[in-house]
This record gives sequence, structure tokens and C-alpha cells, in this order.
Amino acid sequence: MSGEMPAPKGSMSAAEGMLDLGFHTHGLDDDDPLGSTPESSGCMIGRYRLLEPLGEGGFGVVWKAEQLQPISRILALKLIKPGISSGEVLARFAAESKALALMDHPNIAAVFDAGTNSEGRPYFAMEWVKGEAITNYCDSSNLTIRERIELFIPVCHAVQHAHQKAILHRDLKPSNILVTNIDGRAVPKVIDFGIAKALGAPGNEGLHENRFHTRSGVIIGTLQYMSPEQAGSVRDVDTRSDIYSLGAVLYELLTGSPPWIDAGINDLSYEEQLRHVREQQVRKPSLSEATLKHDATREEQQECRQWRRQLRGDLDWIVLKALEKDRRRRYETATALAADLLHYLNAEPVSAAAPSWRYQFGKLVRRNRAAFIAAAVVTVTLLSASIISIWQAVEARRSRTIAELSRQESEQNYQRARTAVEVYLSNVTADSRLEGEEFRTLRKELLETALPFYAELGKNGTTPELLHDRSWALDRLGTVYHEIGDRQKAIDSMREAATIEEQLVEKFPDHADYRHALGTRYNNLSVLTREVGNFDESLNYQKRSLQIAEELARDYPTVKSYQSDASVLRGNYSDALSASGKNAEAEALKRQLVQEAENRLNALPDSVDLQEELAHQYAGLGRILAKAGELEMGIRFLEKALTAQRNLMDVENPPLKMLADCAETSHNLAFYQLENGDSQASIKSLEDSLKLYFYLVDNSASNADYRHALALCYHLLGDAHGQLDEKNVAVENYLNSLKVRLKLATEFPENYEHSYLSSILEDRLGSIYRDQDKLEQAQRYFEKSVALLNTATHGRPENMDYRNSYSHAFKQLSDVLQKRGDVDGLLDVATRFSAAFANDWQSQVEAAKLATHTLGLVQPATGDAAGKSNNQTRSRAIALAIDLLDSSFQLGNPDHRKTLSDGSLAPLRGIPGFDALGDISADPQGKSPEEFSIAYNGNDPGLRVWRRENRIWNETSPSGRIKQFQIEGRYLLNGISGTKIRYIGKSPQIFFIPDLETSGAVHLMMQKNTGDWGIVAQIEQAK
Amino acid sequence: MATTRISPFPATQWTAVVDVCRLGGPTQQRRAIESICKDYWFPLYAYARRAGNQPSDAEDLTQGFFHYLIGRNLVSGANPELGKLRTFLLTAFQRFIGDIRTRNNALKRGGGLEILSLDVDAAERTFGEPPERLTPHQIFDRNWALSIIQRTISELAETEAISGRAAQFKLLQDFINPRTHAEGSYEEAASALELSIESTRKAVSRLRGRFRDLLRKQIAATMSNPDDLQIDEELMALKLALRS
Repeated sequence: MSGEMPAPKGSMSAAEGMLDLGFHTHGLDDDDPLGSTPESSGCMIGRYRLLEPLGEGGFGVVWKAEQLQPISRILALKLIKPGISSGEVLARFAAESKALALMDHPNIAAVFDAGTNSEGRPYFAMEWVKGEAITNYCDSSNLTIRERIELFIPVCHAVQHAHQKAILHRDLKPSNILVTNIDGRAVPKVIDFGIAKALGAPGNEGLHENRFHTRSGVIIGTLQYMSPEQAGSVRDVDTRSDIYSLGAVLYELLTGSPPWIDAGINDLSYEEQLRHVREQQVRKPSLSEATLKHDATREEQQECRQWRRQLRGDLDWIVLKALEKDRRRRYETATALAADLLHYLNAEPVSAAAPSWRYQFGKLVRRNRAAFIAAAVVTVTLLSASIISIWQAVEARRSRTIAELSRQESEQNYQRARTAVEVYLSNVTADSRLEGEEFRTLRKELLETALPFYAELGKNGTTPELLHDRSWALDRLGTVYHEIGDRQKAIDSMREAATIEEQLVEKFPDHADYRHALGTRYNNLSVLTREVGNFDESLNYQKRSLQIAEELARDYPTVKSYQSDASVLRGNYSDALSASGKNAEAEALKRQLVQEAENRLNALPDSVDLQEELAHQYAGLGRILAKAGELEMGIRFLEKALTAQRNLMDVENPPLKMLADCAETSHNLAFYQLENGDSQASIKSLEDSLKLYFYLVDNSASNADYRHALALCYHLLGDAHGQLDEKNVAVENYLNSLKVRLKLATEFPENYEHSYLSSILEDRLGSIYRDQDKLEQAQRYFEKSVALLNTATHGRPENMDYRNSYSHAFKQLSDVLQKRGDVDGLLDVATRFSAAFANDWQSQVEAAKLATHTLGLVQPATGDAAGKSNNQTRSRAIALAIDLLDSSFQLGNPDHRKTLSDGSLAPLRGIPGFDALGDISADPQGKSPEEFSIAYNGNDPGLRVWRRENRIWNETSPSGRIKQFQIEGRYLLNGISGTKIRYIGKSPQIFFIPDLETSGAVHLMMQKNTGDWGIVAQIEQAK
Repeated sequence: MATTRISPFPATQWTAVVDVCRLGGPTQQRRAIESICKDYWFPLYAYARRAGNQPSDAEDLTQGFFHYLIGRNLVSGANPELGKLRTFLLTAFQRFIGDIRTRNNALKRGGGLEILSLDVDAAERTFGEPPERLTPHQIFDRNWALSIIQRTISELAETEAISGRAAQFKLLQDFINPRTHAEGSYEEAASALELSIESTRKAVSRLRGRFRDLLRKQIAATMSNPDDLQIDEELMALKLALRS
């Protein structure tokens, strides 16, 4: 027996037998031979007599048998291969059989008995169903789609019946769904319920742990109908697993083969097939290979096309929903599936609308530019200027003479140098690979160093080209500043750029380039000013930009880029209108754009670009509507956009841009769904976006922008779950977001948005913990929030959002500290808060109030040591409060009296330092006049004299009547400081006397009922 | 180098090979890889043939592949695929064939020393033209399964011979396979062996048991972390391969 080649062909089955020996089985001796003593017709197995073999399955042979006692009937007997530990089988079966006995459904083949024969081989006695597999039946009877579905629906009901008895089938496939003829009608019957489990089908223990199953060496269930859970995607298996299998059978009924016959599935190894089941996405039935018969006759092809057309749409969705990898997205119950099928038959809308989105794993996709955006923020279309100026130095060259040859040479050098720098700069700063945040600093520095270069060159005489290039560099620089959040610098740069182009356009009105560049600058300025809240200015710029674009489009009808620019700018204009609150106009314009896009698409329905464009327009309209408050409509359009974008993604290798667009739309949709109160839908949309973001992050070299979006997505998910009161999940998501966000903050310290957004997350987390009364943790989070905002506000002191959040963060912190009774902590916060807003008198007052509040938390003096330290704390608090109030006055708090009489400062009354404050404010030495007169033309006309005595002003009218007014305190009115006084009488009128030093005409003012101030009369002879 | 037949001895432990390739010196690595080549070249050859190569090209590719394995020291790389020798060899071979450059290098006759002489004639005789309906992958798996079975049988034969039961084995070996019915019955074999039928049955049963053990050992040898479950899985996969 030397090493020969493997066994000759034709004995594969024999070879299999050898492998069978490899399993740990009993019964290796001939007493219980492995199938070597076949049963034969006439044998008795239990009380059943075998008649004829019906077929062989994975685990044994099925016989037609007859029973004589106690009743005479024909049945099917499934004889299990020996080697399967019968004890285990029967034990399981016993557990199931009770439930099985309760099953009584016309479409379920009953299982009535189980046992072992004399040799210990298990068998199952089942209702005998004479019929063929449902798929074969449909094919051989040439059933139409409708008929197939009608045949399939009862199968769903049967499965449902079993599920309600807590019995899973686990091995649903066409050969287990037989169609038999009863009284002339085709009746489908599901067989083998409960058997799969008894035999240890891939089930609750998962594939690997199911020793029993592997020991027998049997694969229960061909993989085609196996659910992802059964293939090991998830540990457990439930009713939804059967629904998947139903879906697979339905798939085959409608297309002729099970779900992924076209993926070359048989080429793969077993393990790979399992992975396929778990992960590989299924093609839509209407697109399945099987329905695309390439080698058919013309008639057949025609039939095929019609068939596919029927499948397209609702049926596609229904099948795919049943075949979802994620079982949460499948039909919950078999009846739900049946119901949708019935709806389809009745031409009613089905519940399985656009399928949950799936994406392609696999090969790396071409990296493309992604226009990437945050939640609900409009795409900023900063048109990049063309940097090569077509305009040649015509002027200069025209006047060139031979004498200037040397100058010509040096000019050529100069030109070359200039071009080199230009090209280099544009390549570096405009290269799509350097788009991401990672390179911003680099680009910024490059541009900043380039600007002096242009200035330097300008010393040789400022040519238009040079100016134009400088303008371009400023534009680019502005863009970069914008990206890092330095809005002011961005606007300044862009304005300068615009000014330069304005001059050029004025001088050279025929140069399209300059006009185009100017339009770009205006567009960019529009975006930048919008972001700082100057909406009117923004709208204005956008209008001008659009005007230029439309003129260019008109003047140069053949230049495609001008046409498309105009179109883009019209979109921008509608966004600008929306941002300015001019919702109606914005909507009108956007609808028009949508209409145009639809028209263009109708003319060229196959154009992918136009489809993309239309989807983009839908998304834009959706955003505008949602922002205007029409959430339902807005959501609908966003959904429309999303559907279109998903369809566009349904290709072999979708470009990254497509994926990014989809993620963005889904994300924005989620935002508005949440606003609309539909948290569940929002979560679904966000989960879709999440998947996409993961993919984008993994497949892009510079992926900071995607990570930013990912963080926003988690953030919003946290909010959505928070709305559903699922606090734990919310926390998880916030933490996920925070992880990404903090990393971005360390990577890009110049971009304070990251710190800002992180602080919001910490705040959210703090709030949740506080609400759960976990105060210590809450405090920690709020502290972090404060720290982050400290960073942000120092980085961008002019940003009001940051400042407001900072203030809020302090309040949150102080709130928790109050709950914890942490007086020292509170005083500390008060100090920090006042320092953080050292120039703002209101904040000083707030801080003072906070300090005062702690007095309520600390018991007044008792004799002991604790009391002593309490005393010290109290003194500290009081001193701090008074100090802060004083600061507030120094900073220009105009209404001292009001402040000091505030209820929350009441605990300070009576304390000398506090009262002293009151005195000082009431009588500002030398500031307020002591006497003046006015000429009054109303009632009792004439000169009225006003005189002050301590805290009372006396007004003497010409008639001699005297009115008295009480000094309320210092006040600041319209920038003028002075004294506020109140009439001591029935109607409490308030007046205002400006200080002596006030320049210009000085007027006595009175406060009207509306709160506005009006002039009473001009003050004269004040002293 | 002498023509190598399929080794009757247990395959070199795959784990040992991996360790040697990771830690050992170049000579040891080479020897380790050679041992794999000796045992497993046939399925690779079959794959190459089914992939459309003529026998001589298929031979060159197989040889070239082993050079490739050694040269790139692929075995030592930390690679999840190294879990199973079968899948590792297959995927590495697929990559190797798919890479046109390395393929062309391999096809340059006379490039480098032969690692071993493959008994191509015997191979050709065995499977003739590979059946069209199977893919190269399937052919590979199928032949792998068959190789393992054959190797186990050979090993069993050797061990029986060593124990002095060569003649008995010869008579009983056809009974080992539960699926095939032996020509003749137990009676004939019993009388030839001068044993009772009962004893004969028992002897067959024992042989089956030993076959099982050796089979499992063979399979375990191709895995990096074999346990019962994994061996069962592999058995199932191989069964499937034979069925396609």
C-alpha cells in the first residue's frame, strides 16, 4: 500500500462514507452498522410498516408507511440515520411534542409520533403529504406571480400558527413546503415542524456549540435558506429566523432561484458560505440573475422583462424586508409578511417602503471629493476661483520695444516665478487630497506666506494679473480661516479679495474672468456673513453674486461652467433667503429649481449626474421647508432625496461622494424627524448614516471631516434615545460621540468647534446623571464642560455662542453644587465665573447672587469648631458677594438700586459693606446736576425748576405746584448715564435725568407705559 | 531528488511548520515548507490544471509556488488564514497564480532549483481531464479531501503492518467503508482469516475506530488550534467538497 493517488473518480460518495467515519459516533461495529443494513419494504418500525421509500434527506430516509393499530392510515415515516444519539433526539422531541400536538392548522403537516425502533434508531411519524415542493409545483403548473403569492400566503399563516405555540421550524425551505391537491385545490403544507430542533439544527446554541449537530456530521438546512443568525451572526435564534427563510423561499418563487445563486456561491468553501449568509447583501428580486435569462429566446426575454417589471417596486421591498440581515428590520411576524403580500395583491400601499439601506463591503472605492456637512447645516458652496488667469499681460506686451529686451527677459523670469508659485499654491491648497481638516494649518500657513510674496512682486508695478492672483490667494486664505473657525479673519480676507476684483472689473469690464471671480467672492462673503448673523448683508451679497452669474451665463451661453454656476448660485440664494427668515421666497425659488431639475431629468432620464442633481435639490428643498417649520413636508422631501440617492448607490462600486451625500441626507432627515417628535424614525435614519460614516472613515486617508460627522451622528442619536427616555443608550451614544470629538479636539486645537461640541456632550451627560441623582458624576461632567468652554472662549472670544454656553455651563455646575450643598465649591464657581466674564457687569451680579445663595446653605455661628469654620465660610461668601457687586458697578451697571434691591441679595442687607454700596450709588458726587430748569409746553406751560435735596427732586411749576420725585438710582439710558427718579404720588411715573457731563443737547426723559422712553423737554441751566 | 509519492506517514504538524517558519533559521524553514510540499502538492496541481494550465505549466506553477512560499516567508506572517493549512494554501496559491508577474517567473523553465519532483504522470493518470462543471476551488477541496482519506488509509495500513496484521488488513480493508458493500460477505472473509463471523465483525469495527482516530489526527495536523469542534467542522467541509 504505497502512496497512491487519490481514489479514482466516481466514488465520491464512497469517499464521503470514509469521512463519515471520522465523526465521534457510536456504533462502529456491525451490530449497528452505519447504514449498511438498509430497511426494506415490509419492515416494522415501531407500530408502523414501511411501504416504499419516498426520498432521502440530510438526516435519513423518508418512507411511506402504514399504521394499522389503533387506526388505519397512511403516513410518512422519517427514519433517522443511525449514529445520532437517540436519547438526545427523543429528549428534545419529547419537549417539543407537547406543543406539536397542539398544532392544528390546515397548512401544517402534523407530526404525531416519535420513537425508536428495536435497534435504537429514532423515527418520526408524520402526516403523509403527497405533493411536490412548492417551487417545483409553481414552475410545473406555470403559475403567475399573483398565483404564486396566493399560494404562499397560507404558508405564512401556518408558520405564524406554530410561532404562537412557540415552535420554530428552523429549516424552512421549498422541500419542506409541499403542495398537495385537496378537492381540486392546491394546498401548501409545511412539513417537519419541530424536527429540526430535535435533531439539533443550527439553533439556540449557535453553530459552533452544537456538538450534537456536528457529531452526526449532518448539515441541517441548506445554506440558501438559512438565516444569518443560524449562520452565526448572532447567538440566538427566534421566530424571525423562520421569517428570513420564508423570505428566501418567496425569493425563489418569484425569481426561480434562492437569494444568491448568482454570487457564485457554490464556488466557496463551507465557512465562506456561512459568512456569505451572514454578510452578503441580497440583490433585489427584480434584478436577480435568475430573472435575467440571457440566453433565452426573444419571447422568453419579453416575458422575463414583464415579469421583472411586476417585481420591481413593492414586491422587491417586501422580499428584501423579509431578508434583512438585521432581524430587527425584518417583518416581526409571519402574518405581517402575509399582510403586506395581500396589500400588494390588492394594489394597496405596502408597509415595506424604501428598504433599510444596505451598502457594499469589499473593494476600496475610488476616493473622491466629498462635500461634507454637519447636521442641518447647509452646504457651503464656496466656488473655488480659477487661478490661471487667461488674461495675458496684453497691455504690457503691446508696449514692448527692442530696448526693453533685457526687461523682457527679466519679466519672463518673473512670469515663470509667478506661475510656479501659482501652480504650486493651487495644487497644494486646492488638491482634493488635502481637503481635510488635517491639512488646514498647512494650507493656511502656505497662503499666509504667499501673500507677502504677492505684495513683494507688486513692488515692480501692480499688474492686473498680480492683483487678480492676490485676490485669489486672499479668497483661498479666507476659505481656510473659515474652516478653522476664525470667522472675522475669513471675512476680512474675503472682503479684501472682493474689493480687488471690484476694481479690476471696473477697469476691465469685458474680462469674464474678473467678473466670475467677483461673483465667487460675493458668494463666499454671503456665506461668511450669514454665519456671523448678518443676514441682510448676506442676502445682499448673494443677490449680487447671482446677478453676476446670470449675466455671465447670458453673455456666454456656450460656456457650460457659467451655466452651472448660475444654477448653483440660485440654490445658494434660496439658502440665503431661508437663513434670513424669508421662508416663502426661499421655498418658491427652491421649488422652481426642483422643477427645473425634474425637467432636465425627464429629458435625460438615464443621466446619473442629473439624478444626483435632482436628489440634491430635493434635499435642499426639504431642508428649507423643515427649517421654515413645515416639518412633515420637509421630511417628505428629504426622504425623497434619500430614496433617490440610495438608488444611485445601488451599484457595484458606489463613489465615496455618493455615500457621503446619502449619509448627509439621512443625517439631516434624522434631525428633522427628531424635531417632529418621531424619535424611532430618527434613530433608524441615524443608524443608516452611522454605517455609512464608518465606511467613509475607514476608507478615506484624510477622514477628519467624516469623523466630525460621525461624532455629530452619535450626538444626535444620544438626543433621540434621550427623547425616548432610554437614558442608558443615550449615555452610550454621547460617550461614543465624545470619544471621537475629543480626539478631533486634540488633533486640531485651532478648531474650537470641537471643544465647544465636546462641552455640549459633557453637559448632556451631566444633565442625565443629575436627573438620576448621581450628583458626583454629574458634577464631574459639568466641570469638564466648563473647562472645555474655557478653552473655546479663550480661543474665540468674540463668539457669542461659546460665551452663552460657558455661562450656561457654570450655571449647571453651580446647580449641582447647590444640590450637594458644597459651599466651598460654589464660592469657587462664583469666583471663576466672575473671572471668566470679567468685563460683563451682569455676570458679576450673577456671581454675587450665587455667592449670596451659599449663605442659606451654611448655618450661622454656633460656638463650636464646626460653627467657627462655618463662620469663616460665611465671611468669605459675604466678602465675595460685595466685591462682585462693586465690580459690577465699576463696570457700568446702570441700575444700582434695582440690583441692590433684588430679593436674592436680601441676606446681605444690614451688613455694613452692602449698605455702603447703596449709599455710594445713590449719590454720585458731582455727576448728577443739583438744579436745572426745563421749558414745558404742555399743561401749566412755562419754565419749571428742578432742585435736588439729598434723595428727593422737587419740581416747581410756574403755577407754584411742587412735585416730588424719589431717586431710584443710577441708570444708563441710550448710552447716557444719569439718574432715574420716580414720582412720589398716585401714578408712578419714571423719569430720567442725564448727568452733567453729557455732551450735546440734554433732555429730561420719561418712561412710557410701553417701556419706551420719550423726551419731555430740553434741560437748561444745569448745575 | 527521488520522485515523491504521497507520503504514507502522518503529515507534518502544521503548527510545527508555522513555528519553525517564525522562529527557525532559513534552512529549517525550507525543510519545513518542503514537508508541506511533499504532502499537499496534489490538490494544488489539480487546481492549476483546472484553472486551464497544461500539465507542464501546472507543474511549474506548483513548483514556483513553493519557492514563493519560501522566498516570501509567508508562513511566518501573523495571518489569520494560517488557522487552517488547507485554506492558507489555497488562498496563497490563488494569489500566486493571480499575480501575473510571479506567475510568469514561475513559468520560466529552469528558474531555480526544484523543491521536489512531482509525479505529474501519476497525477495525470489519476484524474485525467478535470470535470468541467467543477471550479478550480472545488477541485482543490475535493482533491484535498481525497488526499487526506488516502493518506489515512495508507497510514492505517502501515500501522497494521507494523503490528503484524498486514494480511488481515488486506482482507478487511474493503469493509471499512460503511457505504460500500464489500464484494463477498463477512463469511468469506471470516473463513479466510479463520475467525468467527462475530470476531470478524469486531475486527472491522476496530479498524474503523482506528481509521477514525488517524483521520482526525490527519485533519488536526492541518490546523493551528485543533479541537474536536474544529475537526468536526473540517470534516463537514470536506464532505461537502466531495458532494459538489
